[in-house]
This record gives sequence, structure tokens and C-alpha cells, in this order.
Amino acid sequence: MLHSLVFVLVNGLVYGLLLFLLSSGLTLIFSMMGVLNFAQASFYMLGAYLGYQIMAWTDYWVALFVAPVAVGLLGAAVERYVLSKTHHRGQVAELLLTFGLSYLIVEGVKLVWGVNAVNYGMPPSLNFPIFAINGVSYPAYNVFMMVVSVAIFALLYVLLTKTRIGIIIQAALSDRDMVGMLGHNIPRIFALVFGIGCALAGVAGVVGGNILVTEPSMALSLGPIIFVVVVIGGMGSFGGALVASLLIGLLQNYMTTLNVSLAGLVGVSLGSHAPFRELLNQPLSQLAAIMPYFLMILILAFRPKGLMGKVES
Amino acid sequence: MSFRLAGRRSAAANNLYSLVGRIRKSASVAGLAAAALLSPLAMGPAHAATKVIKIAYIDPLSGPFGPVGILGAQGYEFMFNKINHSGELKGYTFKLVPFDDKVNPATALVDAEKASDEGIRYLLQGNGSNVAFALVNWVKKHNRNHPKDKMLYLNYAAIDPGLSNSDCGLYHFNFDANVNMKMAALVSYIKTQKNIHKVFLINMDYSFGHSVAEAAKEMLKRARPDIKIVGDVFTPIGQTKDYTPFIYKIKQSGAQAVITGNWGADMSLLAKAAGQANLQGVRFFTFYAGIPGTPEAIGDAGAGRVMQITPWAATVNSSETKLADEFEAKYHKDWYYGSQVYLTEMLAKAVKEAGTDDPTEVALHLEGMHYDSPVGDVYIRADNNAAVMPMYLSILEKGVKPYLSGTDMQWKVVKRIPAINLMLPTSCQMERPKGAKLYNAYYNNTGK
Repeated sequence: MLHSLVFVLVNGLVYGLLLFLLSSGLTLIFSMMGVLNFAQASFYMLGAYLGYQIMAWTDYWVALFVAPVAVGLLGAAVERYVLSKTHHRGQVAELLLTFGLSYLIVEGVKLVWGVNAVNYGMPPSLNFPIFAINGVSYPAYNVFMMVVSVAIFALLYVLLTKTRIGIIIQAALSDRDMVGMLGHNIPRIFALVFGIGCALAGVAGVVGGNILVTEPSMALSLGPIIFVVVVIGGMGSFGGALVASLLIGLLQNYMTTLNVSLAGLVGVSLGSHAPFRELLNQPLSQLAAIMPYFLMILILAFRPKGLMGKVES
Repeated sequence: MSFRLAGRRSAAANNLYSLVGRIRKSASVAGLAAAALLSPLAMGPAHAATKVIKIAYIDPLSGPFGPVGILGAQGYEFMFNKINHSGELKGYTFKLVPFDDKVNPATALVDAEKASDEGIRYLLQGNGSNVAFALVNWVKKHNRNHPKDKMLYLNYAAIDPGLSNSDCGLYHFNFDANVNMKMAALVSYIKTQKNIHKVFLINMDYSFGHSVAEAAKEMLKRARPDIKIVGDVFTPIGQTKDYTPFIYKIKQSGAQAVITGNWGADMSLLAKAAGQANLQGVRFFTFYAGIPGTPEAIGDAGAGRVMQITPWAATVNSSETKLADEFEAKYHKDWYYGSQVYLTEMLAKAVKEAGTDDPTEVALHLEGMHYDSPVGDVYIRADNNAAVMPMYLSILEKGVKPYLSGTDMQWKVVKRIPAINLMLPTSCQMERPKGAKLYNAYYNNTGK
């Protein structure tokens, strides 16, 4: 039992940080621009494929720097030349545009890399077991992924709260016209923010694409969960996204690892005619995967601004 | 649908080489040119004097399951082309007419109606047992209402056991081994493995996953009562991103074998998690780890760990391997469906023997047919119209050639399970036309 709890804590932390890595870009773009970027998961997918391709050509460490920069530049260009034209028309226009963009990117990726998964492996230098819990090993690469995730959190925090550019970015969100009057180039600031947000998706793709699977449906399958993280954490809160990621990671691991049902959890054993027997005797592991969505509904119903959000949604 | 990027050629050369091919192929995937790609022009010389037998192919040609459906269509295009060229089908040629059903039963029924309106009398479908059940019922109704324009439905990959038991019929043939047959084949191997004492079941939470788990429990109990089922878990389709907790449970349970019907991302992520956790001494017995794209996604994590049960594998020493090479050279994809070879050959044989393309006569000649296929004898049981074929259990191994695209691995055959071992009892009550002759009767449930 104690061993299992240790496993739940460790694996929950590993998976939670992976979730944070995946959702950090979306949080940045939403909190600093107010744009709900539907194409975020597609940028993540592009990062994974570029990472795979650059690694095949050169090596992983080149991919880790080049792929996010490429995705970031593409994102900045999208904001500068297309998305910026919709800002004054409100969130629906932005949402529709990024929605269309997400399909465009997915189809583009299929054109270049085909419709099947690609064999994107871990860099050999980090592909060795570094520690184990009860016989379940973790490759060094997972530790590297956690370090990247925490580093991103720290960097963003410092950038946005402690630097001049961060303060200008924050001011541009709340008082766009005034910041413009003061001589700051608003379109350029927005392009920068959107670019960094997309670059973060690129990093997540390069780092997470080989832990998960790099295939054309990856954007579709990952899209919902990163939105859930952002909603639970609170729209636009980095701390919230981190807490939500860890919460989902821990809860899911707790539910899958322990062999209990809903009824067992409260110590009741049900007769064969008890109402809702089917549901209450369902093992929790079976419900783990849908738990984040349940949590999201609860949050929206009882605390719409999320765990640590600043914006009432 | 895959391209050898880090495969046999150097990556850079490779990239240039296949870019053009990719654009052509992916355009079809986008659904723009699915029909154009499978154009009649590609179907070989239709001699002026021959009669064309149109066969509707109803499967996904777009969306997430599009790649699998298109691979199937290209396999049939390839096989029909061969048959037409060989002149074996005297006076006839086969022509594939693709329809996109998006694995949706309602769409499939509309497609079947369309096919019927176009004068097509043969339906070919494989993806999704739910679609298969819908088509079975549609064919029954259609044949009752249109006794002069009967339809014959050939199912090449939907494997719910109900299709060859309670829902069997004269106008409905199953060419793939169903869940119970595949499980019987797996169990006949596990039975002989003295070091397997504990088995863990992990499946997707819908009817197919549950029938896999049920069959495993029942057959293992009969074959090896000493084997303990130490886990029986279900996960929602496509929702689980982190399979590590399940690997932890497998490890804790002390299982030596995992049996799973998982496919797609649920298969790849499960095998990848096992690899990352460095899980040793546990073999994964799977139905669908070999679907094109899955071995690439699993990568090295699958080597020496993941096994599959199929009617064919590239390392089976037979003339079908030559066919697979030809297919690969033409389409730049791995050959996957072994059943396509014997389905096409048996259909051709039935048309030849019947001397007509009338679906009823062809069905009566398919009943009980024996065919000496490149991988062994294939029989169609007269008592439930389901094919019985030898099955191959294989394991993913590094360094075994020919490499699967995008990997340095291949499925190495571990055991061949003869067809006779897969003759399971059936509850089918076959309704045949009164007084219809039984042309072939090699096998029924009483034996020869």
C-alpha cells in the first residue's frame, strides 16, 4: 500500500509535469492576449514532427532548439499577418480562425509526413533507466522532461513579472490603446507573445512527442485535455495550470493504481439489487480517464474562474 | 501509408525520394482523390468481351480510420488487377467501387443503397463490427424485398463472433478469424508455455474489448485451469495518455503474459509505456499491434515483447511474401491483410465454378469451398459461412528482414496454428434455399 502511494506520487508528478508542458503555451497566449488558440495542439503536433525530422537529419539537441524556433516563427507570422486582423472583431472570429488553422496544419503535416505514425524515439544519450519504483523504471529522459517543464514555468514567471518586456505585455492586455500611445508597437508585442506561445507548443512537441505517439491524430487526441487543464487551473494563470496539471496527474494515478470501486471507497458492499449497482461497483481505474472532464464541469459550475484564475469566464 | 524515413535509405535522400509520392498519396487521404486513385484505368485491361463484376468496397476512406480503409482498398485493387491480368476469370473482370462509410453504420447503409442502385451485387467491408451487423441486416432485408437482385456481402475483417453465429446467413461470408478463433489460436500457444502462470487482461471498454476478455477467461480456464487471471481491466477508447499505472499493476500482479485487443493509440501507448518502464519477462499477446502505423509508433519498445496473431506475416515462407514485395514496390506500404489474397482467389474460383456472376449461385459455390492458399489450406465452413485458415503467432524482433517501414523490425513467426484447431462450435442456423445443392462440403462442425 505504501509502495503504491509512492508510485502514485512519483508517476503523478511525472505525468502532471508533462501535462503542464503541453498546456503552458495555451495558457500564455490566453492570459496575455485573451485569444483562445484552438490551433495550439496542432502547433504541438508540428513541433513533434519537426523534432522527429530534424533528429533524423542531425541529432536530438539540434531538434530541441531548431524545431521550437521554427514553430514560434510560424506562429508569429500567423499572428502578424492573419490573426491580428481579427482581434477587433472579438473572440468568436479569433476562435474560428484558429479552428480553421488547426485543420490546415494537420492536413499539411499529413501531406509531408504521411498519414501513419512516425518512429520518433528518445535520444540514445538519455534512454537508460535512471530510477525504479517497485520494478517500474523511469528513463532519464523523463527526468529531463520534468526539468524542461519546471524551467519553462520559472522562465515564464520571471519574464512576465520581473522584466520590463513582461510588464509591457501585461499592460498591453489590459490597456492596449494607452500602451500604444506610449510608443510601444502593439502588433509586434502581440506577434511576440503568440510566437512564444507557439514555440512552447513546439518544445512540448519535441519533448513529449516521443513519450507519447507522434501521429496525425495526436492533435485531435490531445486538444481536449490541454483545454481542460487551462479551464481547471483558471484561464490565464500559470500557477493554476501547474496546480491543475499536477492535480489531474495525481488523481488519475491514484484512481488507476488502487483497486477500489466507488462503493468500496466509502466502505459499502452492495447487494445484487442495490440501485446504481453497476455504476457504484465500477472500478475507479475505469473512470480515471474521464475524471478530468468531470472535474472541469464541477469547476465551471461552482468556480467558473478556475482554481487560480483572474478572469471570470 | 507510411514512408521509410529512417529506414533503409539515408534520411535525406529518402526525404526527397518520397516527397512526391507523399503528396500524391496524402491527397487521396484528404478524400480529394480517393475515387480517382482507385480509377478504373488502374484495374488492368478489361477485354472488350468480358463482363465486369463490380464490387462495392464500403470502408472508411477519410478521417482517423481513413489510412486503414485506403490500405484495404489498395490491397483489393492490387489483387483484382492480378486476377484480371491472369485471365483466370474467363469472361469476367473484377472492378472495385470504393465508398467512404467513415466507419458509421448509417453511412454504410446509404452506401449499400447507392451501390444497389448502380447495379452492384457484391459488398466488401471490414472495419467495424457495428457496421458489419448493420450490413448483415440490410442485406437480409434487401434480399427478401428484391429476390431478383440479391446482394452478397463479403466481410474481410469485422470479427465479432456474433457475425458467424447468431447473425449468420447464406448471403454473408466472413473471411477473417473471429475473436474466439483468434483467442483459441493464442490460447493453444499459451497452453504450451510452462512459464506462464499468471495472465493480465487489458482491453478497451466497448463490446469488442469485452468479448476479448470473456473469450480469454473462458478458454484459459478450459485449457490451463492452473493459470490465474490476475487482472481484468478496461479503459475508455482513446482517452488514456499515460499507461504507466497499468504497467505498474501488471508488474505488481506478477503476470508473465498480457492479453489485449487494444488497437491504435491505445495499443501503441500501452507497449511504449512497457518499454519505458523496462518491464521484463512479460509478453504482450495482441490482436492488432501489426496494423500499419502501430509498429512505427511503438518503436523499439515493442522488440521482443509484443506478439500478434494474424492469418499471415511477412516472414511466413510462402509465395505470398512475393506478392507482398510486389505490393510494397507499387504502393510503398507494408502488406497487411493476408485475407485479401484468399478472399479474392476464392471469389474468383466460385465465379468460375458457378459460370455466372449471380450472387446466389456464387454463394452456393463459396459454401464449403476449400482453397490451397500460399499460407496453407483455407476452408469455408458450410455450417456458418466463415472461413477457417491457419493462423500465425509472431513476435516483433529487431534485425529481422524485410523491415517494416520506418523501423528496423519485423514480425518473426513463433508458431503456426493449423486451421483444424480453429473449428469452433457454432450456433448458426443456416437458411438455405429449398433443395439447393451443396456443391462443396469439406468441413462442417462434425468434421470432414
